[in-house]
Amino acid sequence: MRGYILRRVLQSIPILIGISIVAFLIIQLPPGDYLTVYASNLRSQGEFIGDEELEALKAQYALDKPVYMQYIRWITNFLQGNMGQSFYWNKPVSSLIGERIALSMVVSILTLIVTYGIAIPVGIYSSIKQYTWSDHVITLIAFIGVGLPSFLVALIVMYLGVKYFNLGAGGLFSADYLDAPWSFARVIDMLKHMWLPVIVIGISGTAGTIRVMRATTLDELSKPYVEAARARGLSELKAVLKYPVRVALNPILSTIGWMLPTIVSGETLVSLVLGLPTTGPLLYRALITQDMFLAASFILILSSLTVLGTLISDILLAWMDPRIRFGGAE
Amino acid sequence: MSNENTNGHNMLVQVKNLKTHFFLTEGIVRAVDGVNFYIDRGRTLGVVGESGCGKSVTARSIMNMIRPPGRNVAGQVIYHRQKKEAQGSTVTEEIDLLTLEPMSAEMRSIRGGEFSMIFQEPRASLSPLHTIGTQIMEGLKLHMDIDDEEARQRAIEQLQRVNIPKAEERIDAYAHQLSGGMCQRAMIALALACQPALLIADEPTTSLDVTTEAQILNLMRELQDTFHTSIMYITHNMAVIAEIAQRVLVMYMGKDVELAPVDALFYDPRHPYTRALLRSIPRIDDEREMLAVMRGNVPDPYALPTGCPFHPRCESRLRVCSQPVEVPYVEVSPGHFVRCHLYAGGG
Repeated sequence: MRGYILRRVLQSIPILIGISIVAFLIIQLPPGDYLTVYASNLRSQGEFIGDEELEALKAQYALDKPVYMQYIRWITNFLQGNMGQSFYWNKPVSSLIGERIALSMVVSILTLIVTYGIAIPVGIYSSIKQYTWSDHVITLIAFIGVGLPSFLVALIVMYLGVKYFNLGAGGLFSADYLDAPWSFARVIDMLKHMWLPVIVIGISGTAGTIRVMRATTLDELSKPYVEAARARGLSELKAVLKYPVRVALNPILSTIGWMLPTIVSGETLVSLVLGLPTTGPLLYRALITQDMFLAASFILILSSLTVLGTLISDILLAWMDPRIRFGGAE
Repeated sequence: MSNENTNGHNMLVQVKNLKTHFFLTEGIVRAVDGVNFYIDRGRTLGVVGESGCGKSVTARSIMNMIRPPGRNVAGQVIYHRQKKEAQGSTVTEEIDLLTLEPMSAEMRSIRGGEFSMIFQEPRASLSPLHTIGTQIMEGLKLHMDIDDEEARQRAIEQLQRVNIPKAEERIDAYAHQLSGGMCQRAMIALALACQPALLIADEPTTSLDVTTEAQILNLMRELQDTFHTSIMYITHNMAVIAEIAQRVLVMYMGKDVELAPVDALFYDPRHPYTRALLRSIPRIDDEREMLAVMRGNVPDPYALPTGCPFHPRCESRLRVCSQPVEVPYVEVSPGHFVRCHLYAGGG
């Protein structure tokens, strides 16, 4: 097990280096850079910016150097914790990302808990009651949930909220607390606003997980070891929960690691619609304005989390399933 | 089955007119449709028949573990349970298992504790994520009042008893780390852990090679001698029946066509189906060029022929065989029963 983990960790190092190069190059791909966008914006508004001024800015951000030099400069700073300056916000990238990542994670983790808390028991119930009316109702609801685009749900819920329940449209804070420093009252205010994004973001994941849980449990329920457990005199509930459900949970629990990047990036579309101060809208804006250091840092962080998440998943799976744990050794 | 015929036996389980039907959207499948037999204490009953004839459903009915859409629609499974009294004498009580709720505490204490079962695919019958020790100990703790440590000790003893080498280590092995034969030994250890009165073996060696099969059969015979366990051995292999059983039940399309002592069945088969089955076994001293093959196919379970279900394939059928009348069940010689119009006069 220890050798397996070590091997997997070492394997991820070249992958991360490759990702950082690709992340940086992608930002360079579109023609122009932030400064050309910046200059043309200024000129279109009738303001003048001289070529010398532009050259000076270019030199300041090393944009006049070859791409590989820029990359080395960026990645060296990145590893030292300096993610560079955001052109658009004119702030250090790290200070921009910090709070938003924290808020994204709170929203995502709450959503994850609600999703699994509902989907796993409902999926198991649906499989045990296969083809009964309750299973049909659950299946119908789950199909609708999978099919509904979440930004549409967000719009509908916001409309209903404003029209009938006198709720503020979106956001994570009331006006009073929007720019207030963190306090206990602000946390309470945030939690009051949290249920809406959690429901909207959670719907499709919950519906999808219900379907997956139902299908995997059904696969396992017909296996001979379930009948053997019943033949030992186990109660139905215990025979089902201890054996087939345990096996069916494996793919779901072991892919939790893959959720890591999603937890941090959040649902961009829903966040835009609901006006959530999470990371998704920030990345979206950074990409549109070619805010290169902000965008590249974001992409690198998300990709690294994907690699880390896969690593966690692999280790979880090996820990939970002896067939994988002993696969190489026996 | 009249009482005079069975009084001489020391019966453990008596199955009377068992009917188990499956209610599917395509129609009703009468998987077991009127089956009678008994299993003697400490003896082995072999059950033979083609795939789909109702052997496995009969076994699961005895365990009272038929699940929807299946249902036991008629009949009795009478368990002659022996209980030791305080004075040391034993009394026998009769319980009709089918009157018990399948998931009631009493039924569950019989299932696994007094009746146990082993299956066709030994590796698939063990959980892929739990050690064999966990599963044996689970059964032990469920039916006996013992703690973890004692359960583990007993589980190791049990594995030694079924000749699994290095039992102290193998108890922590997973099914995928053992061979098919070893898995079946582990299943037998699991099934016999609580010293059940009846072991139902549903084609336990079908997926194993012949050498392993012979070892498993030997093991089951030895354990039967030691513990006086009754065995209901389901197979489609006549050679295995000849080796292990004292009595044989032949089934065809949910019916019990013949029930006989093993010698009578092989040397004096009465039902045309049994005769055809025995003729289709290749023999080493046989000079025939072609193996005898039973004509026709197994009928569609949704549309069984009227009358005797075997009549379309039968070589000695009479006019009455296709009529929708009850086929007579006749005792042609003591303990030898056959369900066939040919013996309507009493053999």
